[in-house]
Amino acid sequence: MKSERAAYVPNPVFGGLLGICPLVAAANSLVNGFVLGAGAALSVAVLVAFLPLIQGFVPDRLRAPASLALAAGLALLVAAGVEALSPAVARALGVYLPLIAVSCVSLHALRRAPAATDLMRGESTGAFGAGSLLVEAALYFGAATFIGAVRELAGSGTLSFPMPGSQAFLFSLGDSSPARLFAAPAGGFLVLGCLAAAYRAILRARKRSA
Amino acid sequence: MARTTKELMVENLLTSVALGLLAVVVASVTLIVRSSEVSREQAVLSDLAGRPVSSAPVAGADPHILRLYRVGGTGPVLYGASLSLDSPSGVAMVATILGADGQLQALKVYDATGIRSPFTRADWFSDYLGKGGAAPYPSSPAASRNPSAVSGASESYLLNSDVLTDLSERVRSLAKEGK
Repeated sequence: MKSERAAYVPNPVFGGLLGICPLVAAANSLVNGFVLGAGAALSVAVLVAFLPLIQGFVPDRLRAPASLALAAGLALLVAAGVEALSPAVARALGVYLPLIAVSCVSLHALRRAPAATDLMRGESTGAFGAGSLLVEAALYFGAATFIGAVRELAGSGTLSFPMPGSQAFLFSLGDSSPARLFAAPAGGFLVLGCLAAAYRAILRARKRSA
Repeated sequence: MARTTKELMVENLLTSVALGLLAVVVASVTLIVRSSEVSREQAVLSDLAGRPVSSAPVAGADPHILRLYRVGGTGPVLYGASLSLDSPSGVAMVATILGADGQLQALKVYDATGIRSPFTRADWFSDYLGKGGAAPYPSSPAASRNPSAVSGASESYLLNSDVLTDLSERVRSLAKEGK
């Protein structure tokens, strides 16, 4: 049983169900999922780079609040960047962009911070390091983008990636909206549940065949 | 070894300074972004009105009516507003020009999400133009000249009617005050 659970860990979204709140609530289109995932991944990358500094100069008792403050600052900077690029996307994501998208993954990064720091100092103590955190960030980005794309395709019948000043789209099913439920938060839970189940089934099948 | 009070104070002070610096960075970036957003919407409004708009908004701070400017230059009294309009399938940032009587004279979508959003249809806003003040905005999708554009987006249609009605009232009130 323990070994099966351990196999679910690699993907933070489908395996660990981590940071799913913004994905369920706000990632109802390809561009929303892409922005949420990219913002979270970027913040984790910057946080990983700064953690050794925090742990080197900030005393133990102040590390947690200092790290959380840095994570919150990064989240706000990402939100400001998105607002500068596309005010409409920033408004569509609302509070999920500055508050939840990054802090969920950042907190996950903080959980493993000591191992990462030790590796960067050359005092390797385990398998987890900055590299594994960055891989998890990339997996989160991929999962968020995929969920957004699936929900947009099922809910609106399109795959679009609007840029400021244009309405570029990649694919459209015509005028029909197959199942608008998938664009709503309830549909987000359905999509996430199905994808998580598929992910676990694939892992189990691979484990059996190995 | 136990730390002295002085050492603890220095640690606290250094941490506070570091967090303060972070706050300054975040505040500076946010200010720069806000200022560029305001410049962009002022440019769109100036293009739409054909005249410059005031550098400072005469009203603002609303979830939908973001900022309201007075249009400068010579000619009839005009007001420009930047709006954020919601739809179940997307959000649109809209620049509008209104007369002193609250009538909607021109409108332009300058940023939007979702290609299935009704805002991306060219005729979506045509029913609102020339309305406001004495000629109220259509209060139901049935009043629209183009029901096909309304199909599947009644909620946003009614919400936008409310936003434009509020905007018209605010413009008339500002015009009455001479602002």
